[in-house]
Amino acid sequence: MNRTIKSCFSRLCIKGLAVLLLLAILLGGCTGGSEREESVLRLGIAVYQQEDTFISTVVQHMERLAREEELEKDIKISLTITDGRSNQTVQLEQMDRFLDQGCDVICVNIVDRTAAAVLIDKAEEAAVPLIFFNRQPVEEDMERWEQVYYVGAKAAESGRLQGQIVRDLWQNERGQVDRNGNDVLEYVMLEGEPGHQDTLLRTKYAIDALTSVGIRVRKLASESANWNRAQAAQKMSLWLEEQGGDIEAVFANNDDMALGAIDACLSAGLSAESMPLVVGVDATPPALEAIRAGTLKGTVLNDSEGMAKTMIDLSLALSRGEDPASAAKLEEGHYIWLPYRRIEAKDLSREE
Amino acid sequence: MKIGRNLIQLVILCLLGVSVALTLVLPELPGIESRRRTLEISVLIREADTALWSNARLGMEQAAVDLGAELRFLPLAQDNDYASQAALLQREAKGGADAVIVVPADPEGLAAFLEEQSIELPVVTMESPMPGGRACFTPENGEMGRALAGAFLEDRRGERVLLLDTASRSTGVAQRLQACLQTLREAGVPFEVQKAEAQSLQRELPGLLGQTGAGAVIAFDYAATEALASVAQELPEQPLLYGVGATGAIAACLEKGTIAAAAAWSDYAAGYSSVQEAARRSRGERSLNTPQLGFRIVRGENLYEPDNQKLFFPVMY
Amino acid sequence: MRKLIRSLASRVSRWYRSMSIQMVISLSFTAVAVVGILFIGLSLFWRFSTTTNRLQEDGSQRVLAQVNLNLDGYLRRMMRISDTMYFRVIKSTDLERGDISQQMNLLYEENRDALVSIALFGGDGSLVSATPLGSLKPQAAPAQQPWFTAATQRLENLHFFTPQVQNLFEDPSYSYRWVVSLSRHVELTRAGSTENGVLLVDMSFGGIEQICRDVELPGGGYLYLIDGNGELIYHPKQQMIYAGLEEENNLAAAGYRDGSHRESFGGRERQVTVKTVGYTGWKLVGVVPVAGLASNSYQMILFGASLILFSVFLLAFLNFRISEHISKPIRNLEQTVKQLEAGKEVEIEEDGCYEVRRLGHAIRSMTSTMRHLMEDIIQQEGEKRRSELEVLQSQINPHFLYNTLDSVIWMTEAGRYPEAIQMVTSLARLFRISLSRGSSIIPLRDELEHAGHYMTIQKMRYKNRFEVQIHADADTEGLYSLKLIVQPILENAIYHGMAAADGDGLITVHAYREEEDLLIDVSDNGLGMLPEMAGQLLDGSKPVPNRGKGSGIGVRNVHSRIRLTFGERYGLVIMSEPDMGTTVRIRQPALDESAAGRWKEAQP
Repeated sequence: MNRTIKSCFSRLCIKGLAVLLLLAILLGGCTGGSEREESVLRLGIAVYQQEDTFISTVVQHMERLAREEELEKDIKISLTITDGRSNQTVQLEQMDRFLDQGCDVICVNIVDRTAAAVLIDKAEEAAVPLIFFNRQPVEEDMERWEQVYYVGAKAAESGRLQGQIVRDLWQNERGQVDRNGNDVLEYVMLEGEPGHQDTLLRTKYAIDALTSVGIRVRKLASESANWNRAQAAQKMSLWLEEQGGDIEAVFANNDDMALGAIDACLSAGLSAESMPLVVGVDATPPALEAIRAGTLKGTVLNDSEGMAKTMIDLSLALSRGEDPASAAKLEEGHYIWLPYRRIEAKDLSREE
Repeated sequence: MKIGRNLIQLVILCLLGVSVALTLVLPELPGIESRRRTLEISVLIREADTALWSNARLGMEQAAVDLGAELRFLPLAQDNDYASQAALLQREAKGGADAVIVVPADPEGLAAFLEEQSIELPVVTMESPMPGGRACFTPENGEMGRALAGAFLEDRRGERVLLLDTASRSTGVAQRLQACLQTLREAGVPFEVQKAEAQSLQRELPGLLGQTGAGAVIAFDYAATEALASVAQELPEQPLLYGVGATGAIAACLEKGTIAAAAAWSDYAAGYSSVQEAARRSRGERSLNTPQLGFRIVRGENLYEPDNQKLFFPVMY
Repeated sequence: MRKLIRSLASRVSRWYRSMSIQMVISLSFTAVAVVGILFIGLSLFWRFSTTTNRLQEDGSQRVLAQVNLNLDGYLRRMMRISDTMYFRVIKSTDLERGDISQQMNLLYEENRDALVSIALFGGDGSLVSATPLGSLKPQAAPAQQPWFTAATQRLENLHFFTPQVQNLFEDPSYSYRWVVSLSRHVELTRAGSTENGVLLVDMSFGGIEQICRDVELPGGGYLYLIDGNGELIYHPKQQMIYAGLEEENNLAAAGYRDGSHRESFGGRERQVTVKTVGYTGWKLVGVVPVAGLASNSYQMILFGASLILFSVFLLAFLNFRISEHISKPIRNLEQTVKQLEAGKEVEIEEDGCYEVRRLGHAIRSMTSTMRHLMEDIIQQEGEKRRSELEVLQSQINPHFLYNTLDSVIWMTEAGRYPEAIQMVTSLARLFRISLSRGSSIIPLRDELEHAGHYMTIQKMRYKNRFEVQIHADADTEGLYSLKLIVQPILENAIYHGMAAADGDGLITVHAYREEEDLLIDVSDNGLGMLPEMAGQLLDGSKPVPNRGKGSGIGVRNVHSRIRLTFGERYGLVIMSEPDMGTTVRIRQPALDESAAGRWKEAQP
């Protein structure tokens, strides 16, 4: 009897071991199976606020270009776009979701430029290349990993170009601009989001473009309108009440705010000729309309289409493991600068 | 014989032991995992401007997150280009999509095309039902047409009304038009039906109004309504405008009063339900019995009622 | 019902009786083990699930507490902003002379992430100051808004309102924001006099949504927020609920007190935990489906089922083997007994556990005892046959016959006819009684008559050398005796006791009853014998002491016959001493006719 038991057991053990071995092999093999097929480029795009006109233009361009690339190169490009709603925590969660989904490249329009380190670390851990655009992270953070890139325009340049528009107008149409004839340009500045790099640089360099050629300027007021048209209108109304006709120029860090200023002027009863000189940055479609209407005197084109194209090309190259330098011009291994262009009424006929 | 019986018993014992081990490792096996594989769902709309379906898109994206799917949102190059829509659908099917959600430019033609090409993909539609036992998520189109006519009849002070036919092949939109038309005819009100392109509506509308002498316009699809909304400001006579949809622009116009009334429904829910249905069909699960979507007629004064708020401003941001 | 049970019970007992012991043991062990396993399993499972439920409840409550903390913090922040605005700015500014917009701006800018707007209204609903946007919509009517009326009616409180889309400020871009309004009554100072006013702080709903979103409850549940009346403030499936495509039990949840509850909704059981958010009257509701335990149970059920099958089978298998081992000796024993019944000679093994070994041992000793008894019986039967034979033999003793006939001859030749006639008559009578138609038990009368006839003949032959007295007591009337028992004793007495007698020899035969025994004393006053010789005479194992010629049967035969027939208790007792005479006491049971009849039948 005991012998029978012992023989039973030994047979059981052998059979059990064999089955377990088979299972282990299967399991090992199938973890590989959880990855999906390759020929799809998965792109995750996290924008800081979808309401922002410029950003939404970039996104539209990206979608369009992605479709065109698909048709041309017969590949599949899958874009997932999420809205960070100006909240860095939300954006962080969205990035986590991208990583879970298995995105090949992630494009981030970061909400808080000082918080890039967390995102970069996550991307590095998952070995997913990261492309920042339009809102530039701090330089030290960009250096954390090689596969971090920035696509954007040099904010300083946009400020300078904006300043140059005003400078040219001052120099060529002095009479119209200098209302009180005191040879000093009195201006108000509508600033973007506090702490945003574009805000700081555009504010500084726009004025620099004037002072560097010796034009005297006086700042009547300067406040942040958070890139927001309505807020800019509010501020402008207040200033018009307070300063009235003293304001000779309105510098706005972006077109939305410039348009807000124009709104305020129009509702205050000023016409396109009697209102101060308003300049903006971005060259969004409503801004171009305003230029045609004569209310906006000039803007700086932020090449949204170029940005979109660069990002698509770069993403394709990165996903295929090619050298990113082949897709775009890299500076310092991380930066791809897109040139700004100034737009005024005379350029518009060419734009059409 | 005793040995034989012993052996049989041992074999059964081993089998049962193996089955116990198997059930322990069941979730790791590849077969089970494939059930939760991410689905690829393509969404084809019949316009070029994706912003028209932004609410639906929000719903679809939420459903995609909840149900483990990936969306591809594909506009057409040209509004209502049914040939390219069919071609696009074929490309998507070949490209490995698990299911397709489509706002068909030409439902009948598309159904025939699918038959012809023997495309077996689960297809779910919005706006217009498509023959072939496919699910459709839209409010009752006939009802909607009648309701719009009713809204106009309430406001009417003797005007002639222009009905815009902007998507003739889309059966859903056509249904709305026909129902509205029928109601107006029964009420004995003079009306005109004009074909128009939503994309060019902005420019053409003043001309059309002058031509027909109409003091009111009713649009039956999103694109046309958006066009009305954008051009409404500039029209000198401020005609009565009616449309469909629940986007922010329409809300703004309702508030300003440039649009008199709009038929609104939860596009978000339609989008969510369509992705849900598409996911279930492609996974072979049973369809859920979702009730018909309801709609309501919203005017400027009741725009800010709590229910309407939730409809027009779905993202709680 | 009872009949059913009884029939069932009888069926079971029949079945039980027909089963082998191995089957019974293995089945009953398996049954008991399965019941035991089930019992333990169920109680463990029940315990486990209660514990898990409680853990889930606790976990849910903890999560809710945390979310509540966050929410509370958020709401308090708003309250602090309102407080700061009022107590630090509005109270200390005379609106006629000073301007609060700078400070209002600062406060707004600092809390830009959570605020949408701060606005101050006069008692009539006119806008005093607001940030960031400054102009009201034409159709906005602040004085009719609930936040306004509530603030003016209840002066001392801060009032929270359920989320709304803000419908106050003119915004050219027509962007909308969902806000939670916080209003309070304030005292405005204008040109030294105080007026009523309302301070409205609109906080961004996004912050609340942020706090409630993506909260994972243990067990896979979700969280939603309702106001005091049960209206949804936040729900993960909000849009679907508003469109009527899904449902939630929020109105019922408004009635629950804080803590855990069980509810059934939409056909599913759920565990609902409620926590009230302080000051606002809002409630956080956490919902965990109860089937959370069994939801990933597709695998659990499979696992459980296969485990049960496996363990039951394993138990049955092992029980079967073990019971086989236990019951093997019993079965062997049964086989052996069967063979024994068939009459084969088998060796009984003593194997197995205690009782089985005892049984084996007992059977073995029983069979050996049986064998011995059978041998004894055979031996006894043999002896009986022999003595029967001897009796048969002695029924016609040739020597006695010759001698007697010789005596008759010389008596006849001598002309002593009456003596000859008596001798022949006695002889005839003797032989007739000897035969007694074959029966071995005859009336005592006959036996004594037989003895009398024998003595008559012997007296004549011995020329009246001795006297004979035969006497039977009255209470021996009707009793029966074994035949031919007295005569051999008399024969012995004559040959050995009367050898030296010379006319004064006396032999007496006395039959009397002693309770249930019939005693016949045969006494003589002869030479007697030594007691050892008396003993040896009766002892069957010793050779017959040679005492000269005898008639053939002898005393021993009588003794053994009596004993064989009636038992060891009966037989002969010889009482003798040398020169004192001898008494042979014959003891038999006192048999009357019917008893004798029974004895006869018992004889084969």
